[in-house]
Amino acid sequence: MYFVGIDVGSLSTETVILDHAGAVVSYHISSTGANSRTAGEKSFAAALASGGIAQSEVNFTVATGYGRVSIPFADKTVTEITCHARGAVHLFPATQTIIDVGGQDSKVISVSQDGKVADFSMNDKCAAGTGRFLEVMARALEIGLDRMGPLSMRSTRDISISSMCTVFAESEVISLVARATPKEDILNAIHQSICNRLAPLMDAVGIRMEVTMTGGVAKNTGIVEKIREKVGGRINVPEEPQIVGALGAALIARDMSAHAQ
Amino acid sequence: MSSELAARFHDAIENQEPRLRTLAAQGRRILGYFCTYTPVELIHASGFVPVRVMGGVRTLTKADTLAPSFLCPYMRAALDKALSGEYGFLSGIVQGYTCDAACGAVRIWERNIPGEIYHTIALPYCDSPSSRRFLLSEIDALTVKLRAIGGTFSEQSLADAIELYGKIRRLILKLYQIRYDERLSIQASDFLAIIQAGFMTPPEDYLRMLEDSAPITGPSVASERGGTRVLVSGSLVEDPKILDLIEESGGLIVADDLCTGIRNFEPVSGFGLDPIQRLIDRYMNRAPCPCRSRVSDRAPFIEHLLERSGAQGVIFLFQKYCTPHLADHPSLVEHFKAKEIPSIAVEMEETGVNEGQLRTRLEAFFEMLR
Ligand code: SF4
Ligand code: SF4
Repeated sequence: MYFVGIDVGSLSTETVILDHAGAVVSYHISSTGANSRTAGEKSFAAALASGGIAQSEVNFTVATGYGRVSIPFADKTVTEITCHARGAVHLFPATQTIIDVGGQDSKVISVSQDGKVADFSMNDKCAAGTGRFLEVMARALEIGLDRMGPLSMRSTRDISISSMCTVFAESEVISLVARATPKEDILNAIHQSICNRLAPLMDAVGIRMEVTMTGGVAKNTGIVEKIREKVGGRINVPEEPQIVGALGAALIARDMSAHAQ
Repeated sequence: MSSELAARFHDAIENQEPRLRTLAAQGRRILGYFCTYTPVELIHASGFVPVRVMGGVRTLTKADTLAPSFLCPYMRAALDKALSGEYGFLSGIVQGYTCDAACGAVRIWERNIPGEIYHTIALPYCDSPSSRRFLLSEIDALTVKLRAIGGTFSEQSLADAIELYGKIRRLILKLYQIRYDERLSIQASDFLAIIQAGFMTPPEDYLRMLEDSAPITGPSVASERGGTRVLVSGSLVEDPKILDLIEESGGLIVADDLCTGIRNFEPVSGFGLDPIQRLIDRYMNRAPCPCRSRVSDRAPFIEHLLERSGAQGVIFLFQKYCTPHLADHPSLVEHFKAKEIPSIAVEMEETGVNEGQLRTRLEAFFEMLR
């Protein structure tokens, strides 16, 4: 008997499969592309295949993420806010605050002692300061996403990027490159600007230790470091931060199936 | 009660322009107002039909150069409508002095849209004998101005208008009671339509519409509608879609603190020896709005509504850049947090809301309350 969580985000889709004991037996990450339904189906099939599981063995499926409603075979949809909280608390039980920076939105979630969402705040206007922003900047700098973090750590000079808008910030970065500003300093500034965009969300909810970071952007060590400086304490980063939403969804699927029986 | 009941109210909203144009062509004179703090009884008693100016959801084509983007969408959209000739049936605007946006907008209207009267009534902040005297002088000044353009004010006509509006308010408050008791089966967007229709229908006709809607006055059955009970708070909600979104995402709107809601109806009327004193008394005791009241008055008012309706949380619905409401928000949130009343805020623009994102926020809010 297996439980599935599928997180269809704006940039990437993840599937996590749990066994009856709640252990992860398989997971899969792929990019969403234009069609969230196809992305969900493909991701689900890939995760089943890599775990050697037949679809008939799946007991309950929860879909989450912005494309959650386009997964016809899901038994239930739950928002990514609830799922990230569930996943983060499962991985780091002492978590009280979750900072999730995904493809096009970021959220700060506060959980109560019993692991339930107590409050949250989410960017609701524009996608500056999210994964998409980082992608655009990586392209402008012609470096891989995975190199951004380590490189930024070598920055020796503080500069700042003043534009909030992704498009304007991109041209700001291009002109910095043209002026031969070292890439590490530009990256440092990009990371700082993402952290600045998160600050109002953090203030709205309030940061309580421990803090766990989830979402693909948590793979960027430079940003994690900036946030660590801002909150003034350790930040838990899961081994695979990108699947925390899907993990939470799978855990909820397991709970719901138990309830249904 | 079904949305059949709401159908005639929806119709009144959709056909407001031709209806009011016909009315104006027949010689009735129509005056617009923005804020629910405008004494409509006085306008009616002077022989005019008071109609609340609405903006609606639209892409601005005319107002952008006159109304800067820091004006609220309501004021910008209403001006755009007027500039497009959709308010051609109005003889002018009478506006209660509330927020800066509305007061500034009246001046923009005056300069750009022909009318016989553009007038702002200053409203006192607090209740005291001197502020009542002040309001009296404001009322006198308006009466004189209205008389100059053919107004026919008398004590008797004011007494009649107070009675007429009192009847309307009593019926609507009954509807609220049914809603608090969970016996209302129409959705919040239909409820809004019933109220909005009253803004643009001559009050005599509106009263008849309400009286004819038997379920409002007659007995009603327990509602089968489910969802997490919430109160919505803010200034104007013009786009019913936002209310539908809330209810589709797992909420059940059971109470409101809106000026397209309860703020119009409480109190029903005022006390005093003569009609003018009764009018003054009502407008001194109006349901609190951040433009004219302190958070310390408004928070208990909302809490009372929460208690009465059993709502578990508050959804703030803001017109973008609505300074009075946005300024109150941090203190209200702090106040509610201390009492463990959860809340969430949504900002509305002329062109509506970002649906996908909003659904996620609302659904997460209801998951949190469950
Ligand atoms: S929010 Fe207050 S000031 Fe603004 S229109 Fe409504 S009642 Fe008037
Ligand atoms: S109170 Fe707010 S919504 Fe009403 S007119 Fe003023 S700024 Fe606009």
